[in-house]
Amino acid sequence: MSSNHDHDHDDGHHDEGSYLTPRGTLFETVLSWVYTIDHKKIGVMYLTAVLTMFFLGGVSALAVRLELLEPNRIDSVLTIDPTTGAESIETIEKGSFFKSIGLADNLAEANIVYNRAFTLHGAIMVFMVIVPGIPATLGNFMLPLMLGAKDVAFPRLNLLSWYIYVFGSLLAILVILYMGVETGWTFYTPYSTTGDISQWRTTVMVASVFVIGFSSILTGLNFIVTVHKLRAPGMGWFDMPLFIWAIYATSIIQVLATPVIGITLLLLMFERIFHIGIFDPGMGGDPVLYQHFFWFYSHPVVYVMILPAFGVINELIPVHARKHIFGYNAMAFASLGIAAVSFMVWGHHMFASMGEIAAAVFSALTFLVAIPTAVKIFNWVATLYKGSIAFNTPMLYALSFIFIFLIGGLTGLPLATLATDLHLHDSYFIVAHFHYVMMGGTIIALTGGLHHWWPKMFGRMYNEPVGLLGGSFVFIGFNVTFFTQFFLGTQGMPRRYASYVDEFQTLHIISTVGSWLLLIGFLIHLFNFLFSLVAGPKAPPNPWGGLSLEWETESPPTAHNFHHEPLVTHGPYDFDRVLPPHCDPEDFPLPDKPLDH
Amino acid sequence: MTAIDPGTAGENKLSSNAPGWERYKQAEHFRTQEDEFDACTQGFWLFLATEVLLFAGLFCFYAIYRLKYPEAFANGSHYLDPFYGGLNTVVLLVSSFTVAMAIRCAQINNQRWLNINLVITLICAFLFFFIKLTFEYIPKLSQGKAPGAFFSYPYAHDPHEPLWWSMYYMATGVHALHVLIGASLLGFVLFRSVTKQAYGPKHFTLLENAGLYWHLVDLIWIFLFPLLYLIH
Amino acid sequence: MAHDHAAQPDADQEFNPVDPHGHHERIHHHVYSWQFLTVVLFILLFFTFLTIVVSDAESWLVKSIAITIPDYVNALIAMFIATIKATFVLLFFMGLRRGNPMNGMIFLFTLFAFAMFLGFTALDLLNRGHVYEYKAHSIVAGGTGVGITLPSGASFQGPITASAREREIERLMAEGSPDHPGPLSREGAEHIWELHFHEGHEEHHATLSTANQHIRRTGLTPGLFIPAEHGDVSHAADPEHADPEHAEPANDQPAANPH
Repeated sequence: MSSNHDHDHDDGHHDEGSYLTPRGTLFETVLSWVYTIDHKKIGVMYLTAVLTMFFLGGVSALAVRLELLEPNRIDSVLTIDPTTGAESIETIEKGSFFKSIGLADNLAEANIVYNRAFTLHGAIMVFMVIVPGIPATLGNFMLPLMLGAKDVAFPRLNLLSWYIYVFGSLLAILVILYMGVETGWTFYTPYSTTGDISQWRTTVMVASVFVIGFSSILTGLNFIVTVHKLRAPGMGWFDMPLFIWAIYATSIIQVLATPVIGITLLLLMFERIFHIGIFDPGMGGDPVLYQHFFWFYSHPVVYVMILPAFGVINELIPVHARKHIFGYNAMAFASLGIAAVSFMVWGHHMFASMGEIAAAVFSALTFLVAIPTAVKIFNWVATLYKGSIAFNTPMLYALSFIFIFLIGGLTGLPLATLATDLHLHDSYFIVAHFHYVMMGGTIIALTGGLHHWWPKMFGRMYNEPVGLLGGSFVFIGFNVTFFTQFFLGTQGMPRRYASYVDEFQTLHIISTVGSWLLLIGFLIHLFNFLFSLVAGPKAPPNPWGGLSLEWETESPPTAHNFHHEPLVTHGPYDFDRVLPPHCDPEDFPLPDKPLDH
Repeated sequence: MTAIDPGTAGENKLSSNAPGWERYKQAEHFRTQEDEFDACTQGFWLFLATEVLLFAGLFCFYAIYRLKYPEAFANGSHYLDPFYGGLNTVVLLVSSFTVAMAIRCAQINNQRWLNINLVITLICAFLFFFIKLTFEYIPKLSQGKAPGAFFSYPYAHDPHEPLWWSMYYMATGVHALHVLIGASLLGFVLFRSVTKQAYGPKHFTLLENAGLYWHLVDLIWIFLFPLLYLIH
Repeated sequence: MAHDHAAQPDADQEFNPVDPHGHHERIHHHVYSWQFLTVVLFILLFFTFLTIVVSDAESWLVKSIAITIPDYVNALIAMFIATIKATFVLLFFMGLRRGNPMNGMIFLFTLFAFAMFLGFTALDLLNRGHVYEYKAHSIVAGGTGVGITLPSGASFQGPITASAREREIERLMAEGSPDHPGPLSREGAEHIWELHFHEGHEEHHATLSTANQHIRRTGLTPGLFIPAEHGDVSHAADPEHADPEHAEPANDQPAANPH
């Protein structure tokens, strides 16, 4: 991307080593990570933490699915002996997974364990995995590299945000595991304000989420200033890779929405401890006000989850299809448009509990979201058209993303429609819908982006066939798990119940089997990555022939990212007129004639 | 080359006699001091945005319940004396002025008045707390005008008055917390200014940002004052 | 990297027409004169004075000329003056007037988010029941007191204020007041409570500073309370409170649920 100076003229920078090179003794090396203010190391630390949380959240999800293999129910069967006429009542206890592994003594306790399990799953996956998932890991690592900067604007704040995140996450997990929180990840009042107040578990849980919010704010603030102030010379706003645009829009939402969850959770804590009454109908307060406060944050945060995923796909598709992204400006403004609209649509989470006029307004506004997202989907498909598509793991994930996200997006429309929503809300339809957009969106994009940037981050190539195998398992497993839940929801299976009628069992079994396929897929990826770290072939600086700035530097990058400050002379997607750096022109030739875009 | 640290690595040790602001050198990932100043100030404005939205929750608390229960809020407002609210407003406005003057003194390198202005600001912060506690919090709490379910004042005129007190204590409490944080920040700035002459025409980033924070505290109070004391 | 710049101080400006760092704008620090800042301070103090005067003047007008001022005028004027004051602080003390315009943009976006938050929340909570009657009564007036248990073990059967009144009456029955030493009958205690309630409780606590008395302004904005009687709003707002027969008034005002 830049007219980099010749490396031979470099004055002694070559022995600098990569950011991963150990320095001094083992102890010093560990210290160099603990105290690091290098965005790359912090990105890797975030990645480690987020993947650990993903593992925990995944385990609890598997537990939830196993519990749902059989309905958690006691049936009483009346039998009348035809000869004597004697009546006898036989009680049949349907199996409970939690009971069978000793987590619960009876079905009533198993229900509580089930509530805790899905609260653990929801809270971990939302607050600790998906929200920081892409911005804090790939974003932290790649954003300064893509901008041609040496670091983020405030490196020490960046490290602080990691520590805050880890502290808050550990606190939350300890509380749920040792004491148990049964409110669901939304902490709706009165679930969260009634009950045994002398037990501090919900309060501590809420406080830890409050703490994690600060980490989110600091990351977002840091990225906005970095994008404004640290772009390489020659990089105007519309020369930035679209991943940066997505992260930028995400950061705006993080900065503007997260403080509201801060004050919400603070009020919730005061409500719990001091009974201030704001959310308590017992004192004239309104529990629905809590839902407004909560969703004013948590709906924009849905876009904090999905916008970076869009950004990742924006990089995967042009690079692996070797074609200029279709409609760059439309993509950039669609990101900002989603960020703006995200503040006006939160009410669709509470159609059933809110007033009619507001519900109608929110419903109409919610449809607006479909416009920028549809623009994006259209542009990705148009980019693929006549591209020279390399079918590797990142591309497999990009295609999975388009397929899955399209289903997720389209099933959002009946949920935005008042009349249908009243029937579908709080059913498995909504569970399926938000897994399609949140997991099928964010996690799929994170995994795809991880494959795409893995060579750059760690300097090793992963095994391509194994990656494709894992990706296929994830794609199939995902659809088996969650597509069935659309049927369950439309047939009337409510969410958050461990028990159900027998008619639903077949679909539940299919869904649970799908979760095992997902597990296999992610385990394949995990072993692929670990193997590549130990014994993978060394990665060239630019294995995919990318044009954005991160491919200019070595793999893995040096401690200061670039030997020379890069000068940007072309856009990040000009595959039809610029030969990629560090690449053999035979591998990535220019097209015979420029493609129109 | 490994550490990017504006506090220590960035300082040029060669001329150790010069005041702190002259020796200051920006962190190495910034190209110029102007760039760093701009970045830090912009970052701080973003932080102020988060603070405003934090208070947005409390203003929303106020607005919703005031519109729902106007009698309770009008009565509640009448328990507060606009004299003391107005006095605190004056105290905060004056302190805002002295902070702005302190920044001006840094810009023209008047170290003596820079410190004096900061000291006046800190005195104002103390006065604010003194007035708040002596004339408002302590007597009101001792009368039973406590938030929410702890309300025990027997002569309430409206059944929703506990909500008013909840709002009052949350809003002024969170604001007072910000006064405390801002005063601590300014105290730190004063300490660095006195010991190192850290702020001068070429470098006053932290002073500027601490000042911005203090102005925000003032800004919030400018709205809280009429909402709590004057509207009926 | 630093030495590169030392060698060619204006290198980036030469080779980079699209300068993303705002280098062209070398002077950000506008220095205001102390006279100017002092004038701003006095303008702010004047507006503080003005907003207090206006607030009192409105009450005075209502009382002396007996005109009807809509209840929102009061809030509008106060907020208008506060906005002017805030603008002065933002522009001159916080430096938005001469500083980086991006910072002003950030502040405007903040206000946008704030407006969305407040606007849509109010749109819902204040507009219930236009179509379905049962949605209008989602907030029980005064609260039921159900489900609130204090750490002391106390619980409530009605609004918090009713419990507070009940405790005071019980205290008066046991201890009496300075003028009427106890023990008193229930009727007597309620009578003393009534007296305190109407005269103002504070007169019996001469040690209290003015800040902690119920400031009886000359008039509440008419229209705020449905029967707009001066100084008698307590009765109008909550008749049950004055009536000892209804110690638990909340039960009379339930959410009218059609189901």
